[in-house]
Amino acid sequence: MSDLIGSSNPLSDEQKHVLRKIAGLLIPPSDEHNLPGADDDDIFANALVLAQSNATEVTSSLDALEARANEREGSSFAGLDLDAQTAVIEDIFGLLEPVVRRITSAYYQDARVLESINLKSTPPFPGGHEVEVGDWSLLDPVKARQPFYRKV
Amino acid sequence: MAEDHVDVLIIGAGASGAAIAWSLADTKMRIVCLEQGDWMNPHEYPSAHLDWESRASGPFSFDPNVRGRTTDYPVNNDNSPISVANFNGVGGGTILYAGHFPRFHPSDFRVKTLDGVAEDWPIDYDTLAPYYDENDRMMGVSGLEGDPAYPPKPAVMPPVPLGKSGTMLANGFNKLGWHWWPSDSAVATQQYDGRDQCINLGACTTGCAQGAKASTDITYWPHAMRAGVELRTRCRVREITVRDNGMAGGAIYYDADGNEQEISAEVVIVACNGVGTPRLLLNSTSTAFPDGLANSSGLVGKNLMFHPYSFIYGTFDTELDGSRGPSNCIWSQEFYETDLSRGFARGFTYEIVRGLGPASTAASQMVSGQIAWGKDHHASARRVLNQTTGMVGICEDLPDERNRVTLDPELKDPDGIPAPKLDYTLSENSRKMLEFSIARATEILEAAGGHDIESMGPMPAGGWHLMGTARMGTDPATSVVNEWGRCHDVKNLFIVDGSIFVTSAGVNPTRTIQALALYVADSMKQRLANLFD
Repeated sequence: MSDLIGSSNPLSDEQKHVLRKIAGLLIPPSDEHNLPGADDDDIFANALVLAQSNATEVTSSLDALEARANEREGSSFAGLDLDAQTAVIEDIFGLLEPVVRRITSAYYQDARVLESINLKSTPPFPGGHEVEVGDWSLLDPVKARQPFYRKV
Repeated sequence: MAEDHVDVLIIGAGASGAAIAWSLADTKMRIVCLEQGDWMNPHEYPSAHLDWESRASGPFSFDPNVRGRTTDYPVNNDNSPISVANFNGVGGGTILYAGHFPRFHPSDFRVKTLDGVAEDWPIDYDTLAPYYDENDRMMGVSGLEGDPAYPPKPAVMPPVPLGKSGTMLANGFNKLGWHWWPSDSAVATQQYDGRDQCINLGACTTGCAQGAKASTDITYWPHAMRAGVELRTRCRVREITVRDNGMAGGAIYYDADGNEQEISAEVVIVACNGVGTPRLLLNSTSTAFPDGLANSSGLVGKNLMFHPYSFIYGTFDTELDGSRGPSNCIWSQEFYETDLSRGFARGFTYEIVRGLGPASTAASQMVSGQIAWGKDHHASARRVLNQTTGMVGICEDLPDERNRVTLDPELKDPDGIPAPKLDYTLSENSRKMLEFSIARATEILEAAGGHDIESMGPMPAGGWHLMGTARMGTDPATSVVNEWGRCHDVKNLFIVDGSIFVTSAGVNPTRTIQALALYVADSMKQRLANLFD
């Protein structure tokens, strides 16, 4: 979008690898719902697009993750086993907010995921949605009230 | 090259600029409006795309610092707990507003007399009532007559649907015996004036691809342009010029290529709202006006009012509307009028938020811990997605001269014009009102069957309503414009946006901004022979 002011600060390959690992841990696949995890190719590609918008937020989170992995386990995050990676994420989950938001946003805008939660897998426009008009007789007790605005 | 001269120059093509352009068009004067942004293309609105929630937080964000279009100007919010929300383009803030369209109440114009706070307005509800009606016809307002919280007012179209979320919360209000009513909405629920009816896209605050929401690019502007008004886009005004006689002379602006241009005018009307207007006036310095144009009172930029927003929502054990349906639904004004036993003066409106989209809900609820991550994620998410609803509390903000807009000494827009800088502190009255609104809303949600209730207040990004920075009054020492919008200091300079508000009321301001613009236009037309006396 040439019309936008923005900064490009792409993630390194190593950071992308870690990000994908986190994605799979945050939202794993579901056999019950026949759903991919957030590390699915298409979903993660969208997460990366979101991550590269204001990437400094994301890299700061990833830096905090690496620091905690080293502090706790004496290893990079990628070098840890699954249980240790999970424990590190648990430790600093609050600092991962920018990462969590981007991964979750990418996941819950995927057509397969939307269908599985009974939402349309197409853009809202032009189809729109059905919303029930509702039962306006619920208003009867309010209609029975006397006007209560202050007269001046 | 011939001089670019017009009878009336309007700066800003948003809610008020569009309304006054349309109203003045019948004078047959030559009217030009300069707008720094572009015309919108509805097919670019997020709701025409599957990833609409991501687009809504990027190029269509209501935060200009996030959106960062070249047609925007940055805002320094560092010294304010609430940051500015706006949009720059034809339609202005109406492009991204929800279309909540309440009127002020009669008491809102008499707060000093009734409650001993702030100042009374120099006009009253009855003065504006016919202009509210006229604006309702132009914008196309849906609603229901008979609301006991208001004097009688007409409804142009049937109300927006109650839906599952509205039904759930209406039951909560009824259990407590508290007021609620279908929201007046600038959303067409029927085909209206060339606009199609709402089809419940559910992304009103990202621009309406259907064209059902009344943004002024599709309401006032087509009528104004057919009547002869010229609208120029990508024209960013740097300053209003001043003639030797102290009258406004026109404006200097930058065109789309960044070239400096000048236009002269007999009358200048500023319609840039509560931050853009003081920014422009303060940047329009001259020998005659060294402290900024029309600023002999020293009040240009002062008395900035937001509406501090509380946001309270809960989870229910049944499917609700989620993001489906217009953002507007029902409102409550149970706590609108002053009751000092609550610990604060004035009051607020609750506006029901049906629900958020799945991406927004999942992101915020994972961060808050309501939705689990890891192996329990899917089961946990299914207990929350499309099952949350709640409300915002729109709290009246009282004027305080320490809350102000000034020019930032360093930050500038893409054309080098100084950006606005905000200094704003939440008052004790507002803080108490926020706390009260959260407590009562929690009771409503619980009565409706909600659980896991969460809240915040003030909403940090909730600076949608910008008011008070060039206020109206009869005394030039304590106000910037007179009781019909003319600057005390410059008799051919008018202001018609939210900056002329004396107080903020506890409702969304757009309907009143536009009614004021129509009222100022009528006042001008009635005085055309002696407008500058």
